Amino acid sequence: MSFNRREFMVSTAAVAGASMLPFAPAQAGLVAKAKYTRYSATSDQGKAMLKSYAVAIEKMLKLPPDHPHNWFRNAFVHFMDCPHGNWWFYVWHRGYVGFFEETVRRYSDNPNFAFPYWDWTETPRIPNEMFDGPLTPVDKAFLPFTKDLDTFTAYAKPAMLSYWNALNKAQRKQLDLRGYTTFDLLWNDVTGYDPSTGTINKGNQAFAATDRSRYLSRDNPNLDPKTAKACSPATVMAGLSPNKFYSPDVAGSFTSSKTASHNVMPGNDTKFSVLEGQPHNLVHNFIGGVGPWDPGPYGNMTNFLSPVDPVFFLHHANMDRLWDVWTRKQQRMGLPILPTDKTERAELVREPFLFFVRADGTYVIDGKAGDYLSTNRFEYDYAPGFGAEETMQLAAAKTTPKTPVKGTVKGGVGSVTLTAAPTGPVVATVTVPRPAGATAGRTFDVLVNAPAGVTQVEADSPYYAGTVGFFGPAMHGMAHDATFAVPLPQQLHATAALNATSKQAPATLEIRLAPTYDKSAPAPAVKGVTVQSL
Amino acid sequence: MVTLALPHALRPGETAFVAVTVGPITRGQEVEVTTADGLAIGTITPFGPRRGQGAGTHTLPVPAEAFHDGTLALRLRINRFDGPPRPPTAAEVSAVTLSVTGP
Repeated sequence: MSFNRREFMVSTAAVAGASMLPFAPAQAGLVAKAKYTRYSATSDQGKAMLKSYAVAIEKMLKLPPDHPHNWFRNAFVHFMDCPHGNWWFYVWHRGYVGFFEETVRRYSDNPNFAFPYWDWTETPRIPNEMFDGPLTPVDKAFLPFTKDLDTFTAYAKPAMLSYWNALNKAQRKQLDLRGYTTFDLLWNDVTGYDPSTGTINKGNQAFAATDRSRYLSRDNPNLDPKTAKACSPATVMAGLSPNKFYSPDVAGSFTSSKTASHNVMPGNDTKFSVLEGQPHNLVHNFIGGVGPWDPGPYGNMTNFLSPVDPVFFLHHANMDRLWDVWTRKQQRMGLPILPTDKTERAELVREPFLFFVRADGTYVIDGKAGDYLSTNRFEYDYAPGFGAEETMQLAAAKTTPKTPVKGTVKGGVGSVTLTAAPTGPVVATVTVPRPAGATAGRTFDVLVNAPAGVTQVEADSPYYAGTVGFFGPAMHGMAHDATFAVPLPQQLHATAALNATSKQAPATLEIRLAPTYDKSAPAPAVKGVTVQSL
Repeated sequence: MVTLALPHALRPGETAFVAVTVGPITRGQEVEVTTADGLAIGTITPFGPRRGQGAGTHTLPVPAEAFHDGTLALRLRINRFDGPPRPPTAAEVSAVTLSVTGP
């Protein structure tokens, strides 16, 4: 079900009135002028930013390992706290990339620095500049630290252990949820050590040696066909099509599963949205060598120390850009950009994010998801990339649906009275109980204003609106209702009266069901109807 | 082979999706989804460390041309580094569902 206009306005008022939420301007479509712009990495401006980025990387690599801005320390923020497969995926990464962008701005000595984004839909290959100097983790600048696992362990582990010992209770609670109840358990995911078998699982090793830290190279920069398909216009547009920030129906959800904590790791119950499960996952994995380097060890991008590879931030700037594109599409269409249910929205915004680091070197130990819902938090916007214009065209072509008119039900027949002519296509929703029994019918024809004696119709009947059907077998003891949306065809006998509807001459649609195939079977009673002009 | 039926013909602006629930596949394995006649629908590769847990449900958009007479015939296979592609077991792919979302 989509939100109607009234529900949206109510939700907007509720959100805008909540002072704890810092995104009222964006919510109202009045985006503050950004101070920084994230350009495409292939543009001249983007290429200039990459040069600044390289300057900062060189400096951050040379910081001592216990410095909060040390290059690898920053990657451990992701390693210890990143959410995947849940509805905090976008908001957490916005905070992570945003703070780090401010840090890179400081070290690059470029006061206008903003991360370029890698628009893999337009350019399904790593931008050439990302093979220059420290913009690739195979560069010699990384060698003193990542030559091999022993080298990295000696360099990074003592500093990480000191950091671990200084964590507060709230932070340790977050790590407990992640399965890191001890430092050794955390470090096992750096080395790939599996304590249950006493062996190293090379595929799970987050550390990557310098010479195997990135699979793609200057001579072989292209995404493979499968990854390119995941980044294709069709897949990305499908990922931008949901009209809800979150829905249990993942096909209609912009984000992945709703979970109890952002630190719940993906598992059996995880539902991945299109954009997270497809371009996000496949780009990470292919750059890390999943496929050609099976069964591991892989490059950095495949596991949770992926921010060691500088391309991580270009990839996630693009994911964040797509969230921004989706948000603008929603605003243009008059649809909500966050959950409209107050309780659900509170669950989203109150989630603690306790591991980010500011550009001044201090820790953000009291952050929450609600701090990062808007790009205004970090004062940036995006130069247009794929999806920006395409979604605007979709939004411009879309008219605001009218409020559904709810009908009544009597004797298994739904009845809806309209007092205004439709202004666009008309859709009825029909709620139908699934008939019990393994051999019960599964498909039923929807009849509109059919005379009482009509019990079966052909597709060209003036009373036939469509067919609704249940998929899969009926599960024993699991009776349920289902609501189907049925567009009303123009050839309906009722259409003429519908088009002439006015307050003075209301039109009534009577909607009932008939079995599609087994004409002797009883027709299920309609349990609810609505009619809506789109 | 999995055959799924559309609840209704796709209307302008609508998109069909398949949701594929993937069990605990290992590194070096991926689930490739195509139509019976070879049209690529997508590939599923979980991100991050694998600890024997399920890989979750992954959503793939399905182009309109993948349907024939309102049905979608899908072929799923496990690609792996240590052997030829093979059909997934019930534990590796436990469910495939089809849904349609509107504009």
